[in-house]
Amino acid sequence: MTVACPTWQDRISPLFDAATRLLVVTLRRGAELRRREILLGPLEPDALARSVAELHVDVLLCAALSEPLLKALEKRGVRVRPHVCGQVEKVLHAFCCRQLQRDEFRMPGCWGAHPHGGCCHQKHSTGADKRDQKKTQTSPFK
Amino acid sequence: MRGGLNVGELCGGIGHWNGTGHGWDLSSAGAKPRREKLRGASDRWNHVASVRDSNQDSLAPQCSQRMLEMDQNLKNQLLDSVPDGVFTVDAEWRITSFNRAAERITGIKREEAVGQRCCEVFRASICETACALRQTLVTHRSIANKVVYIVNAQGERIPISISTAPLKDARGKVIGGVESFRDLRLLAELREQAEQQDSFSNIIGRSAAMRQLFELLPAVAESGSTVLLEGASGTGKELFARAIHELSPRKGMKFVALNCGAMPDTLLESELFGYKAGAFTDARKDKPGRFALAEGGTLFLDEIGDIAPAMQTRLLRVLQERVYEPLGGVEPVRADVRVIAATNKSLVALLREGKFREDLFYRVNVVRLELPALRDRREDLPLLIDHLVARFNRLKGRDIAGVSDAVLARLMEHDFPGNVRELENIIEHAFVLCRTGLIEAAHLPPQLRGDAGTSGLALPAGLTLAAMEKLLVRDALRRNEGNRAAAARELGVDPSTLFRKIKALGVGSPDRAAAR
Repeated sequence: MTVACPTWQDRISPLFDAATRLLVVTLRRGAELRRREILLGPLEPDALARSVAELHVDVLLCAALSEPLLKALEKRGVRVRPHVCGQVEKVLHAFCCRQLQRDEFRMPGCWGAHPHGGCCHQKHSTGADKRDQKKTQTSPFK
Repeated sequence: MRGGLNVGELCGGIGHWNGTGHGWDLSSAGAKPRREKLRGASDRWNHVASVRDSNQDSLAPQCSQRMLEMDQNLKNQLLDSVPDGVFTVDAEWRITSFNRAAERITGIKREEAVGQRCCEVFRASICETACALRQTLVTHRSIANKVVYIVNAQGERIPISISTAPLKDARGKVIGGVESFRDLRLLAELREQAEQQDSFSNIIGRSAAMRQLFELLPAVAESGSTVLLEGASGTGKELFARAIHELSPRKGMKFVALNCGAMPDTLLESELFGYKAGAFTDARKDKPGRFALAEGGTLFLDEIGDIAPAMQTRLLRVLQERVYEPLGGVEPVRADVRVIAATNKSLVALLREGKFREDLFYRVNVVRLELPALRDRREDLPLLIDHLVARFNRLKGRDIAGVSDAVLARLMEHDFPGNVRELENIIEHAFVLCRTGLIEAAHLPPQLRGDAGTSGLALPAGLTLAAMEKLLVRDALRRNEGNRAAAARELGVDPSTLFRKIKALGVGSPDRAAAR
């Protein structure tokens, strides 16, 4: 599985639409296989979503992102886990250990106001994500 | 407990709203909001401060806690009365206050925002790369009206203009920053409404001449008659032709434009009427002409005054009989096309010179609209400049605020021989040189830069300062017909200074008669 997250100052970038770096991590059976950092230019939502999809990213962990970008990513088959904040390594570790719903990774303001309704973390931490995460119960990120 | 706090410190060093819409006066001691409605809160605030100052040593911890809560409430009330979003940060970039408007614009509650990193609450397009607050805290300089976007809690991109200022304590040490931001969506809506009032089918103008034309256009469009548009180059003849087409019953059909002055006769004929296969060498298949392409719609013939007499006859036949024959064709083709002709020359003058056929003139001159030159509607300049700046901002993704007063004054003086097209080029030129803020005189093309008064004066090389002064003074006096007060005004000096210069430099008699 390939997980990506936009980074800035060792934290998840606050706004994916304007992010400049993307960390792409390939995992296999809970172990980190490969890690690379991609530079992102100032791109429109469609172009940015296309770039992410071309990197074969399965799950994108990010903080805020605009609705058009979210839709463009989902259209290209990228599962988005938005409104996540915190130190990159801790976030990746929490993702592998299914602990992203903890308050410390919660970005302020996304609850109840999300266009899909309800809690973003609850919504996105169910279903496909959980199935993926079952495969990576032990975290390679310390 | 902190001791000896002034009002500025009590409110976290916020200072006071300067009432201009953006920006904060950060003089810390006794900061009082200027706005009337904030005065009550401020007085109470000062009262709290003075009570606190005088009694601080005897205050019990419980009382001091209550006092702090009161301070916080007052601070929130004060910030909430500001219509723009406002938040403050400490040196660690943690939000220390967040007003009601900020809640509304970002969709994030104050309780959730306070204590969080500002970038994770504000989510602006510049947080990573060009944080305005960071720049302010580094340079200690305020930033005003920078246009960016944020993504709110609902995932909407919201255009905002931000202003920042540093927060200082009583000793002048920077302890954080304040950022105010305004939702530009409402502003954009208002601008759109205002533009709709001052425009007609994308033609901008509120001058009497333009309003008169706007009133005529619907009736002219509805009539279906041939229209002649007369106006200098760059006055927007094609824009008017398109507006007439869009307002006419033919709007669902094609609008085809052709510049008749740009091509030789033979080419113009095949362009207008098309040709049949075999009409001439290399004519392997039929090619429809502009009349055929515009069938049912409108054909705009620009520079009709430049058409040669032979071609004028052929055009006359189409306009008269509504039939034409493609090159190499034997069957006449019926044309259901409305013709709008335009020229930057006076057709009447061409008629007198025998360069334009009288019968064609009367055929195209059914409804004649004269488009005013830009110099004849200078009152539209500010509106046109605003429109062009907004358009280039959109096209180039920039945030130029407009033009400075000096630039506007310079443009108002200019004659604009190229009309709106020239103005458009001037603004585009300025966009290349001006990165942000206002367009200044230095951003204008060279011929518009500098002082207009001396631009026409050719100064010989190798002049001394005194000789140059003499020339300038003499020139100013001549232009003002010996009127020293007017000449002094033009030169930007006091009349007595000018009189001293006249005497010292030995400039000829300053009386009016001599000047003449």
